[in-house]
Amino acid sequence: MKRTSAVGLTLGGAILAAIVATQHLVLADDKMRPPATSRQAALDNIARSVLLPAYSQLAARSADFAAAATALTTTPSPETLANAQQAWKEMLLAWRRTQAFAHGPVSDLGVYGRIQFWPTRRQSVDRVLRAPRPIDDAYVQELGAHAVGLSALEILLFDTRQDAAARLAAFSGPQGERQRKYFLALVQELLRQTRQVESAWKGSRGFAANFEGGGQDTLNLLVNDLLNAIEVGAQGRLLLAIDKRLEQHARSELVEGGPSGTSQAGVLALLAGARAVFAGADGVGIDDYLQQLRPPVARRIDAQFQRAIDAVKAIAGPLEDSADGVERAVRRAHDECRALEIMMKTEVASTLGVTLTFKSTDGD
Amino acid sequence: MCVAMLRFMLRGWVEEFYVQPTYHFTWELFPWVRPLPPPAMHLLFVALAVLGAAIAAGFWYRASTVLFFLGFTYVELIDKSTYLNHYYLVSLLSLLLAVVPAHRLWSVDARRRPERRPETVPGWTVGLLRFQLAVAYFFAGLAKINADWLLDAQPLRIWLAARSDLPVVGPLLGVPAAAYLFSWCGAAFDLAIVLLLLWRRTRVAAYVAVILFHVTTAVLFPIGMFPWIMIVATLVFFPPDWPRRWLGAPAAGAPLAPPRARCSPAMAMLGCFVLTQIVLPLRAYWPGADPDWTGRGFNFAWRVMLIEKAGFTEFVARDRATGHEWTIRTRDYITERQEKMMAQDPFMVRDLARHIAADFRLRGVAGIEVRADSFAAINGHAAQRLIDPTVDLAATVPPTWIVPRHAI
Repeated sequence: MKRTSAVGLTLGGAILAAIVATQHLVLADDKMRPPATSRQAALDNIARSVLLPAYSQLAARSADFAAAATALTTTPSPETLANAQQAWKEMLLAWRRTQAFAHGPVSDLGVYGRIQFWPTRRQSVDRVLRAPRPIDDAYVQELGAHAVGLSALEILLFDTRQDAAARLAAFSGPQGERQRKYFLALVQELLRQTRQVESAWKGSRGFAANFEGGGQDTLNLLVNDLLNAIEVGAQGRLLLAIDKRLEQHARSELVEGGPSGTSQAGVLALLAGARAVFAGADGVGIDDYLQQLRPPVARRIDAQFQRAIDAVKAIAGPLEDSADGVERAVRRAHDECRALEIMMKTEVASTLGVTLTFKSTDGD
Repeated sequence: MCVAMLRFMLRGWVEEFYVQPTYHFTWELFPWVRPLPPPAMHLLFVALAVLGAAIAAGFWYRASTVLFFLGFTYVELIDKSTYLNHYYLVSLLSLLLAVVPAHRLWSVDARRRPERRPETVPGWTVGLLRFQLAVAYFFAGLAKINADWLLDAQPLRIWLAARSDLPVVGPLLGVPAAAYLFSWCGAAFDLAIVLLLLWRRTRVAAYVAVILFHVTTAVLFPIGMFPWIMIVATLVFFPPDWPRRWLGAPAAGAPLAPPRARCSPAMAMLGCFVLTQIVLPLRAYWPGADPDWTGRGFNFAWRVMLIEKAGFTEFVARDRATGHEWTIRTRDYITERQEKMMAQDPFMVRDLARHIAADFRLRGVAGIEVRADSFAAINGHAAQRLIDPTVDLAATVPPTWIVPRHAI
């Protein structure tokens, strides 16, 4: 009995000591207070203040482009052509800013590849222009992704085989009739799709509500999409631009955004969009949630985002420019984006538990 | 295990783990283990499910346990990237079940041939099963005595915060104090539970703790069958006649005369098994081993739920003759799941580098070097370089090829 009591007392003492030690640790650390920024708050803000406005912006830029396209086809002139080109660029950049999160309505409605598909196939566009079949909505809907969307419109607006006068001529007179119809049909399709996407995000049953209610699954998806945007969208485009195997004479065709001169601005818009998602614009974002979990990681990622953006801004010319200075700057921007990718894949993924691989934890 | 195998098949894991990959990370001691052709692989899992049911029913018990052990262990040896501690435990328990006569009572075999079945088993057979569970718990607890676990509540802070969307308790899980509580209680549980289960006075309370602990882990983390296996397996700490007493069944017949202590080959093998089970987990405590970072001594050491690790690896192949370099698309060789596991384990990175080199040689590039730009982060710490990027992983690697973890 005495022995039992002694063992009991020892065990009790050990448990008490453990509790006291835990309490001491818990109370001694300011960080032990309940988190002020929850994952839910971050997801709510990202959905309402970043993603939804980004898709609304895309629909608005699409409407602007449709108006400029109508003006060009109604009264082709150097001015209307320039306006349409500018409106196309603004729509492209709005599209790039949404690409940090490519799931949701844009993929559920099957329009992602139709809004923009890369690489462009000039032959597909030429084939439509030469085909005998009248151009109408039904015909456009049957066309593959190579012949529709922003990339096909880039070919029509910024054809590198033609000078400015020839480009304008292609939209003018009876001989430009088919190109005008094709052009307008593509623009209208884009307008429909971007409005559909925007509308699918909105409302009490819209995707934004699903996004907010998705918890850890949404966070997983979001971080993976961010990673894809940084790795493929930014880093991949920069890497292609410095690929020595690209034929010199065709560089502006082979680098995305080359014909329209948007290659650099496109990468910058994509990174800016990714950062806005990460930081929740001016509100609560993943960075604030990270700050709760691991402040140094949040600081490092934030600084690396800035370095990557600065490096892309520092490129003095289009990415496809093979001048030495540009190439060095593109390489540096690529390296900064790569460092960002590594941080996201290692530190952010492990801090947010987005992979939850449970290394050796028997999770099947 | 019948349920576990059915679950494996229904979730499409046979296809994903053993059919889809064109390359498998084989174990150093078993490089010859390869998956069967796809239909046979599926059939094997059907057979394992049937064998699991047969073991539970005590039907052709010896043959079923031996075949299950061989089949299941074969599956586990196919690919390092599928290693899980609980699969390892299942392999060991199925081996022990093949040795111990767990079918002497309440089994189809006993019903078919009652005259050949004494109703008792030698005490060492129960002790052996208890020993195996004790090893798993104790070393799991020992591994938790580290700064990350006790002082920073990692990785539980990460994992619990990820479950803050659970109803009722969810918001509490996001509070760091909860992670500290879980960490300390988890370590104390693992270290003390065997003693408390062995001691008659605390046994029932300890078993209630076992249920609470494992049900909690089942609710909070995606750890499949493991909690349920442990809840059932720890019943072995109760006196062997507890089911009879519980059900009010008549007492067992007279126990067999205890066997004379002698050194038979079988006992020597059992001794080796016991010794191996103690020595293998101790590899992790070899000075400078750092198993969580290097992977050396991590597996077969019961380092359970210990780290949240993520990695990044990019391979560059170089033709020594021409100097031409290729950045390798890892997905051309392995699946997404394999890539995720490989990127955090330097030995798997080296294995894949050698495979890439072999592939280049097959395509006519003889003098190929493969280097890896490899980084990893553990428990939310800053990412660090994992492998020396100047080392040609396709050749014999120097002892310093894994970059040591910085002080954190």
